[in-house]
Amino acid sequence: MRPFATKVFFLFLILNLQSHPPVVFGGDDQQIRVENMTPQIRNGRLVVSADFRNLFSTRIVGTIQSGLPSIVQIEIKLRNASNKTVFRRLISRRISYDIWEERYTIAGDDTVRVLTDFQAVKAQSSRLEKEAITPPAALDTSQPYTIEIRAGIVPISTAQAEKVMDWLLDPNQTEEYLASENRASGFELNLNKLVSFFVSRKKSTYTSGWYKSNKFRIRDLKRE
Amino acid sequence: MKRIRTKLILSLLLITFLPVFPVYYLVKSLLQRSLEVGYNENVEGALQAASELSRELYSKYKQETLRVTKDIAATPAVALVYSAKSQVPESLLTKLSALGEAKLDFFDAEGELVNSAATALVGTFPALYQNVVKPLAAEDSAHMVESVGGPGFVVAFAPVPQAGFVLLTNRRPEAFRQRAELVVKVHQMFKTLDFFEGELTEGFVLSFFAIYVPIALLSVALGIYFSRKITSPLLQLAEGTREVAAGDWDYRVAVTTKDEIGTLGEAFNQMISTLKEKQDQVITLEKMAVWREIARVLAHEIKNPLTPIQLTVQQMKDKYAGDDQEYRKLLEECSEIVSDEIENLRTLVREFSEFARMPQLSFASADLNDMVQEVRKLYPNDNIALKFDPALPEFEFDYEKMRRVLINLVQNGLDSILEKGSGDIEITTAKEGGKAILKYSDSGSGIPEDIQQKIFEPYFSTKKSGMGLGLAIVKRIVTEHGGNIFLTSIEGQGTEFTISLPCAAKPQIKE
Repeated sequence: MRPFATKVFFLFLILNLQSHPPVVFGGDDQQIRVENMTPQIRNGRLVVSADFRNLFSTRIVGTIQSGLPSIVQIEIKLRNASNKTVFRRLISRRISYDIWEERYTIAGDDTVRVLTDFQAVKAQSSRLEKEAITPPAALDTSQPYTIEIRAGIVPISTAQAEKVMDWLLDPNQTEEYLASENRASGFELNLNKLVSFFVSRKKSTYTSGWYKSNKFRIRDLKRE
Repeated sequence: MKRIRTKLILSLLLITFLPVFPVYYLVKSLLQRSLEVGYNENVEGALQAASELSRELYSKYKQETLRVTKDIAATPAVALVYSAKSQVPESLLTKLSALGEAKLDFFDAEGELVNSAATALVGTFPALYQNVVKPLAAEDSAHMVESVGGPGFVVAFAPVPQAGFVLLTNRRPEAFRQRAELVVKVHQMFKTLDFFEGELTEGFVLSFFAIYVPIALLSVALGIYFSRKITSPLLQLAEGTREVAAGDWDYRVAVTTKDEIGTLGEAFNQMISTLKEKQDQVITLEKMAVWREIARVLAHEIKNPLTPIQLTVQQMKDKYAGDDQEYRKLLEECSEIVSDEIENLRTLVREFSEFARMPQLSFASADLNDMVQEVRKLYPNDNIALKFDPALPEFEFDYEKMRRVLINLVQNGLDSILEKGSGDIEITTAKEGGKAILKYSDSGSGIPEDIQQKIFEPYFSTKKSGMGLGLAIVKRIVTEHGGNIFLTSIEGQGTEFTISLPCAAKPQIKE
């Protein structure tokens, strides 16, 4: 009886301690997917195109339309025949919505696009269009390569999360006060910081798994 | 003993960590409940609606600004502003005042400012920079101008045919702006919380553990420390018991605290001291009994033949009828020697008998100081100092026997001083706890260290005369009083005897 009770207890304990398993869904139970990944040569550079499905769940759309910016992240890896990563790139697109002017802004590394229709925002953010990777001259044209891509979305920035934590833990403080570094010390505030520490270190990110292309050779790729 | 410590530590661990699991579930459950109170679909719906309402109001506000701008631009009176460059007509100002705080700027076809008019202004209006204004001259339809007025303003553009264009800057009412922004902010907070609800609960729980675990570990460490503090003296007591059982009556446990454990240690030490005293007393009395039996037998065996020997020698001397004078002289000398030795033997027998027949103590309440004073009177010419404790009460002791004890000590002391050549004696009385202390000290020749252990034994003497029974009798009398006698002596400097007697009830020591 005792060993059984002990087993049940520990099973119960393990099940309860395993809260929040790793998230791989974009919400609404729809997993983010990478589709139509196509490498090709354009203007002498290796480029890749891909589509991303289910990047914007209803919850994330609601968050963006509340005025909070979300960040779409696309990570690309180029691997050689020995599976070594020879190129890596992280593309970030910040999507924000001006609720007063009712327009969306997509800010990339060097581009800013303003749109008024969310469907257009969704279409543009869910498409990677001939993104340059590296000049073919840097690669061995006879060797096989693979491209791996994964896409994800960070619905809430860390700064925003911290702001909410501060607001929740001490709602009487003004925004200006919260922004200030000059805070009084004390057990209560330290307790708040402790909670904030544990919460803010968790970054809520929704991401797909890694999607891998078939092996290809540079010389066999379609050229534009 | 280690089992007790293990049990204590295990109990402490159990007490410390057992409540963690129910508390964990309780805290988690309460947190989730409290979040559910503020975070539910109704609240989200209300916030969403409020946010949309704010946006719609803002949109209408812009539409109204644009409508008024277009209306003003289409009013014929506008022509007066351009042609006569006179003041803005009242009819235009009336339309403008319907918007609240607003400013109207008239530009010509080149984008140059022609005239301006404003309602009662509270604060300053944003500057309309040429790089923004100039391109508008080419526009031919009314619209809102973005990114000009800043967050508190809206700016509308409307062309004035054949004249130029007007820009209407309208300040958003501050109260509306603040409320709308608050609604949006709370809605955003709510949306953020939507993603962090789980993390927030987890954060609270982890914070709980981050605080609880160090406290728990600290209390366990303190528990281990205190359990050691408790069990270590117990281990010492057990060790002490074993040592005493093995015959080490000098073993004492170290008492470092004044709590119950310390009291136990003190009681243990006191018990061992008392037992040792009693044991010493019993041993002494047993020895005395043996010596007394020897003395009794010796006295009996020696005493009986003494009289026949003396009578025989006397007869030998008396019955001699010869004329040999030399022989007669020899006979008389020999009989005299024999008589002297017989007398010596009789003295020896008397002392033996006295030692063997020492009567039982006769206790009666008396003053020890009086007894000391009385003894002092026996030696009027000797240098004997007295120091009395006036607080010493009368108590029950055998006055005569204790008097004999003190006389014995004083007599020995005087002999010692005589041997040394000079010196003095001091006798003090005191009361310490439940005991009367009689302290004798002299500055005589002292007792060599190697014989200090033997001086209380019968028939041990450093003197040429005496049977060595004096200090044995002293020891016996003190012991039979239930007391103790301690010797401290340094050869050449002096001797000190400390006698402690119980000064309460009659002692119960039996042989």
